[in-house]
Amino acid sequence: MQRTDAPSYLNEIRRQLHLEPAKEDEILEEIQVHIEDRAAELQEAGNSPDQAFERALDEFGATQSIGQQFYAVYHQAPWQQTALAALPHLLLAVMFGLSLWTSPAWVVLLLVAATVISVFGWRMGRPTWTYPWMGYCLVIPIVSWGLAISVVAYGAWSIVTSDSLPESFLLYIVCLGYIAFSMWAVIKIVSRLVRPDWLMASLTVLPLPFLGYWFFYFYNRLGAQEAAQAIQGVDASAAAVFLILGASTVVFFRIGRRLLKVAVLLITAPSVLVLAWLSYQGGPGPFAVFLFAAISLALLLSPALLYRQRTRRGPVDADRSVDVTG
Amino acid sequence: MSELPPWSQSLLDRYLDVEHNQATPAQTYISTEDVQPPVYSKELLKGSTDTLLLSLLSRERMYGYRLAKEMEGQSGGYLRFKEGTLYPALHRLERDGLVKGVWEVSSSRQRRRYYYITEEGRSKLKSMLEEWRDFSRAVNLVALPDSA
Repeated sequence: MQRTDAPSYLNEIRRQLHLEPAKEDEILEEIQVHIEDRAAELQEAGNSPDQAFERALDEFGATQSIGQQFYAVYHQAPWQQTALAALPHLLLAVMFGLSLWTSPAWVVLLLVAATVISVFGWRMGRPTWTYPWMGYCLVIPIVSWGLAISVVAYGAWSIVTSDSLPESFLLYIVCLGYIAFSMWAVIKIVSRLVRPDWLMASLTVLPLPFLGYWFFYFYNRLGAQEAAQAIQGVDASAAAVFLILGASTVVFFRIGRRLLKVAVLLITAPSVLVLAWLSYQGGPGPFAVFLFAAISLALLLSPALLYRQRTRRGPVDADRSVDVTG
Repeated sequence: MSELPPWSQSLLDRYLDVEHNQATPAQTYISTEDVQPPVYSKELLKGSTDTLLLSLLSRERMYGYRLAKEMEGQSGGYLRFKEGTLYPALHRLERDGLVKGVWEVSSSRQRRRYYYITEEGRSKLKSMLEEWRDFSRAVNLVALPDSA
């Protein structure tokens, strides 16, 4: 390792930080100054510049270990923030445990609370505990988006089969416009959430696979009234699912190892789907559940792909290497 | 709380005599790299890191490199951090509100991040030192009854 290796050494540490760029710059500048001080001292002791930098970097330690330690410092939340992060899941658990979800007032109240906290969090620089709240905020555009798609699909099917539209042409135009707009809005929000840490975006979308499964089950019943009665019968298992999501969120926030955080998310999402499948009688078959589980894993990992794309093209990449070569 | 209490040096000396039967001589920072690294359990230093850092910062503000040097110098070359672990420890103390880091330009016109101990940090250090004193006294009473 030579003096010219110092920028790659610092960038190796940066890759593991997953912090706001300004904070990453600050940490790396501090390390850079330390290495320069040490190298200067070693040069005064008779080492060549390259020898001095090699030794200074070696003494500073392995980049992976340093990066992991910094990651633990900044991504291991205190109990207060952890409790706030788990709160939306626990509220849903209570709502289902007491069968309050059938009352529109409670649903609207929870969605308004999630929206207010998400907007507040967004304006306050997105503290980590607000991410799970944002996940429930995304339910509104996603559900309405799904409904709009079903209206358009039904219209297209009617044209093919009976050569007529069941609703006015204007409705379909509005639906198509809304689909495009809501897709753009969700992608825009999620692409902002993947910076600086895509894992937080994955945490945000964690409840969506189960909610999707729940809606799928709901609308696959004979009618809305029957579906409500059928689902009320398994509210306890839905409450259990949200308790599991809450517990996973607590573990996610309290552990400092990144790989373990990834594992918590990847285990939780398919597990709650299987639990729901076992609890909901007359629901989709094993193949559909397997498909849902696969989609949930893809959904959780999609922020990582989005992040990689952005680091190739966007300002995250910007190769903010720190010049220590003088 | 301007100096390390005498009991801590005394305990350190006893620890060296018992565990290694050798004392590491005081060295300057540069020359210590040519001697054998001190032998002690990593966990021992890890468990004392916060106390040591807060003790040093309770005397004056310092930047990371100076902290590492002071740590080594004041312990007679015995306590040597793997330098990369120093900064996560400092940032953890800052996250917990025990120290505050401020960028300042030093006399050599170099921008450095100086760490100050906060009031909360002083209070925490006081309780840590009391805990350490009571604990070490109890350990000495059991493990080293002749010298306690």
